[in-house]
Amino acid sequence: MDAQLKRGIIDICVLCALKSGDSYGYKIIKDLSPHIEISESTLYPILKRLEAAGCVKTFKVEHNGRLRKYYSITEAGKGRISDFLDEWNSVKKAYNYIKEVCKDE
Amino acid sequence: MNKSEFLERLNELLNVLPEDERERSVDYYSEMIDDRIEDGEDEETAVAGVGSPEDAAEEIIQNIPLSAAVKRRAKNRRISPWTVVFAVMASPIWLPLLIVVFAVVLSVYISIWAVVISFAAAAAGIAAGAAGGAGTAVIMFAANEFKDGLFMFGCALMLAGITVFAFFGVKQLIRWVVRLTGWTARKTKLAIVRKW
Repeated sequence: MDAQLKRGIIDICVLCALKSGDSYGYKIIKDLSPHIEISESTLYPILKRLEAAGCVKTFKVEHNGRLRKYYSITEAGKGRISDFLDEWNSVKKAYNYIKEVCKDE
Repeated sequence: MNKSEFLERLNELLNVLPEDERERSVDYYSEMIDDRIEDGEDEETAVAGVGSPEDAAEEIIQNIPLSAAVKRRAKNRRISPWTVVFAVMASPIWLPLLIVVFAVVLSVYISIWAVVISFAAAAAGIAAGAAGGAGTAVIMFAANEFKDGLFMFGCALMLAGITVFAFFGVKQLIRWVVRLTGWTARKTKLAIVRKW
């Protein structure tokens, strides 16, 4: 996938992984990897970026004698997802047109 | 590599960053490795699974906006009024030097592209030769000069063949230069963030 395109999409994927409930780094990667290529080192800056933009909040929970950082989606984060869906409706329209034109090739 | 070696190395590589930023990154990787181990991997596999500390550090540093890094560094550094006075007084020396360095870097970059463009121009020239040859061959056939026409046509075919090779060569060359540009930009940013 084109790097620029992926950058836009992967943020939304991470937000969606939090939509059904708060989650932590490792679980986010496990939940997303069937759908998009993601690794520990790529997730870190994404979470940081989303937190700085106010799309996620973080809190720490004790787990097996250590602290685990949890992420939860904010209203702004949910707004980002619906913006994305709206935007992609127009992308899909264009995609359908392109596919229709090229279907015989 | 075990977990503590990984974290130590990462901490070392991130020593250009402010303390809180560094701690945050190390905590993140520590948690990732712990969670992998809890999921059933042994320590070595878990550490290998999150990648090398070098890659992790590079990803972290690359994703810090350059303006933020410079600003934070500048704030942390105490600049005495005398330094400022000296910098202003010495500007007739360092300003031209800075401009020269910038001009040299720019001219080297432009020269690289000039080479690429000259190859592209050569390829275009050969292609034009092929087209011209083919046109001439048609005219010669029409004028019943069959032998000369055939010779012309052969030349045109040969040039067309070279054009195909030249096209792929130029394409690859452009790809290399673009990749070199990206690589240089990344390394320059690393150098700036590190140096400050």
